[in-house]
Amino acid sequence: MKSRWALFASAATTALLVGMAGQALAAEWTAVTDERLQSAEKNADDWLIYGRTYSSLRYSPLKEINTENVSKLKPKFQIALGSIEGQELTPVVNNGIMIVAVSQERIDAIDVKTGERLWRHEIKVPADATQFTCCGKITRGASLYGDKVYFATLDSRLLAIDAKDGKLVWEKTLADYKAGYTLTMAPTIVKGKVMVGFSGGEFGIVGQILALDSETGNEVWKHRTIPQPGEPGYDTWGKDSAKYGGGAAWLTASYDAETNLTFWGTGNPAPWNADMRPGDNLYSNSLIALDADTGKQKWYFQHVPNDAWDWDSMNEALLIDTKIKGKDTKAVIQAHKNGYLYTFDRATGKCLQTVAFSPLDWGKLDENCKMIVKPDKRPGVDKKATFCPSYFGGKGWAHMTYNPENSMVFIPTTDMCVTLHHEETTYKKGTMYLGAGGEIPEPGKGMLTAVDVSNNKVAWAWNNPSPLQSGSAMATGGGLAFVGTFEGDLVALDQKDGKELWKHRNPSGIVGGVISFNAGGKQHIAVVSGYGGAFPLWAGTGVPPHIKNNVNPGATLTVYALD
Amino acid sequence: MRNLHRIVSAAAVTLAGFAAGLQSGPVDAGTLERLKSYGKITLCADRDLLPHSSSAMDPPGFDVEVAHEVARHLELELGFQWVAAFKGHRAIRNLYSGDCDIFMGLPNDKDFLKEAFRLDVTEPYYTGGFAVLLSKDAPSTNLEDYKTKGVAVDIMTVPDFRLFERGFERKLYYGTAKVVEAMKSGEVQAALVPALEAGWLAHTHGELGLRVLDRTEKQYIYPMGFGLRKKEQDLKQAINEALAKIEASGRLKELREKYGVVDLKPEDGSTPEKKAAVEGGSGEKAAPTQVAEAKVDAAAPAAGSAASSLESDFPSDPASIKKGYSLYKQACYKCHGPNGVSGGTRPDVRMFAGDHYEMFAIVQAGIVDRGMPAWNDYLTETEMKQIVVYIKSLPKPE
Repeated sequence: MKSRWALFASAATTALLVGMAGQALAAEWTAVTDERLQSAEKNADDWLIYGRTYSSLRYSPLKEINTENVSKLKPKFQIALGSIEGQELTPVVNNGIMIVAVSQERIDAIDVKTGERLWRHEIKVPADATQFTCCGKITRGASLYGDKVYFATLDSRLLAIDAKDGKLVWEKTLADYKAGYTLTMAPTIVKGKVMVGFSGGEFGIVGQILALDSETGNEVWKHRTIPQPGEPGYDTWGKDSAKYGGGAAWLTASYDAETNLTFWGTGNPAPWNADMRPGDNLYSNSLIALDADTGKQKWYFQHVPNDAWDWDSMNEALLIDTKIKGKDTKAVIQAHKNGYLYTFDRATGKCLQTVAFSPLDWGKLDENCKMIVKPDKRPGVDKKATFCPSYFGGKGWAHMTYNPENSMVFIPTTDMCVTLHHEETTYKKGTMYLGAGGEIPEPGKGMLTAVDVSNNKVAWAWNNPSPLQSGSAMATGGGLAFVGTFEGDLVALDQKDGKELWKHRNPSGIVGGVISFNAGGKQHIAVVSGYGGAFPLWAGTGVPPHIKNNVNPGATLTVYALD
Repeated sequence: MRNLHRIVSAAAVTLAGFAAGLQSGPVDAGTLERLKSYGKITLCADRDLLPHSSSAMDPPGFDVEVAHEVARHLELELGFQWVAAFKGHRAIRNLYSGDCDIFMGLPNDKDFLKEAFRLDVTEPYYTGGFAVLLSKDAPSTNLEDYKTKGVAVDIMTVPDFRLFERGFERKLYYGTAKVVEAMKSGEVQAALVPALEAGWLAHTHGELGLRVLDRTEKQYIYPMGFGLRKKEQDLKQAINEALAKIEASGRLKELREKYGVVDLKPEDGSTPEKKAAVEGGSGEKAAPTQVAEAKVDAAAPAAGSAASSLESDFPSDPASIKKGYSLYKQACYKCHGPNGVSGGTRPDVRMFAGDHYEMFAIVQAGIVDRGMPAWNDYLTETEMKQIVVYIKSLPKPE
């Protein structure tokens, strides 16, 4: 007996020592400073910001995994995240610690070398919150600043969580979710200000962007996207329609340190019935540039005046420096639901060039970037119109990626049409404010479309049997363009010609962003799969049967590396 | 009382369909013998549903104490299987599947037993049902006087359906405790709620001065017994004998008093009708009651005269369907898809297996923990019905 006890004791002691050693080696939190955030371009090891850099390029300079060896890429570990909600997040990685916001349910901190969970923060969202949002219990992710993780809840609270142990430091209620003000974006954090824009364009909110002090949560500034009585632009809203005018800025903004501007895309005006709001409806469906310190609007460009199609301009703005028409330009590019890629001057908002990247039939843009719409392509009250792209857009919210080395942008694209008509409706708190109905004539398809911004031409398109509506793309220094599909495939294409070089089938569909980082001297790729979000809820007959019948929900984190 | 009203309401809306496919087995005479070989009889009861039952045993609850007395007479120990009684027929399923031997507080009512035909119910151990509950400042004891002001009911219970039919303004709450809260805040003055819970809440919230009337309409009165598997007739007989002894000894009365059980009497002063079980009941011939009719109206529109009542409850003229379509777009589209076509991750409403009334009940109360809102808080009854009529007008998918 004695010897057995001794053996046991020594085994226990060894385990204890190993455990302690493990702790000493475990990843440690490194403060996410302004300096690190502003120089994220040069630091390929981390993925600190939603779009990796403030310029939202989703470009990882890492090249260990490249066109030569990607065929050998393998899952290193997979973790079930215990959710059947849509996983629209982009994880973030700081010094080997990955922060994964699992829908609106929990936030996990994971050691990317071992797959061990370091902490978990349970998010408590009221059971009725999904009633007041269009697209399920989703989030796009958590954001990092200093020693905290910031998370925006569906019921419109901002949580500040201790990045070392996952404990709540403070929370702030920002709006009444029962009036349709919800939060689904990963906050934009610049110089101690946490910025969020409310979702709710389908619920008759008035679009708002808030900047809050990162230490206290106190409001620093507030910007309404829709003018109220007495403000410039109010006269573009006939029939008192600004009151419930929508214009939600519902995706993470980009930031340019040189001009100190943040760039936000605003969403559709409400309701969808355009006759109920005569006028241009400023500043819905616009790209707006706001001063990061004051929230003051420096410039705007409205892509779709008096929207009749639900063609939001919510899409992310990528800040790029390249030759436009032969001239070195500090530009901002934005791919739109209407199927066009726009290039603007970053400082002034002047529209420089446009190119159609997706199939479309509604008309075209003129030389001033204004839409010229064929009359039969504009739906009205009791007037059906079939048009392409549908309200999911040629580009949905799935983020595109840009490689500054070759000036190529890779755009997740949806090829789908819709038949829509408008009707009178009345605002009713807690229900949707649409005034429209329709049908998708046939299932959608998808492409990853590559555009060379320096010559403004489509270079190639890779085809997929379902829309690339929700899974964001990532370009790497290894010459690869990654994107996830509803089928669950994480695909790697050659940036040169769109040739498919590798793919891996995940347990469920991918509706979030793929990322890359360096850990333990090795490049990793990571994605969270978990089908859901707007597409299966809103597309009806547009959902391809092979997706509807074969893809189950269920969240899994997969981390890939070469052997 | 929650298990009663849930079950009665569940019976009214869902039990029929669920039971239809089941077979009632042969009579098994050896139940008592089997239980004696284990030395134990198991009660399915809610973990936290006073005055019925409480796993904390402080106090154990009326049902639990009565079951203890019965078990003692049977010379058996009492075991527990804790279930969620508010899940209605799902709770009873525990009985079918053999997780327990008895489930208390079921109505000895022939229509209930017709629907739950694998079940049988013993002689009553109290007379329960739905009682009028009044706040301290309620001006009248006559329910009719609240017809336009509104009467609080527990959603999807018999009073909910009955008062709706009688043209009462109803105020809907989820559970009697919520009704009491509403009385406390002055939202409502009168309610028609399960008598046992009403008595208990009035008793435990003495400071509110609530009144429970022991007179109620005949159709709201149910004799309440032990539910058991129908084939186990020997157990039923043994429990009946035990109950008779406990009643004769005065112990049952003591327990009724301890838990403030209101012995409901019909308003006209006549003795409550015994609603005999289909077989092996009290032997009295059951007269068809109004409750039975109400249940037929509310639950089984398939048969005979119900068709005309369906059309009057759910008018399906083109204008109603059109309004329903607009409302569908405001409330339902964003999950269930355009024109009722689901994209696959949420239920396809065209495939809903139940009838208009069942769909209406879900639209009204929601399944909140699974993301389906309770639209009752946002839409009127007419609007919710228009949505149902629109959905029911859609062609079924191939």
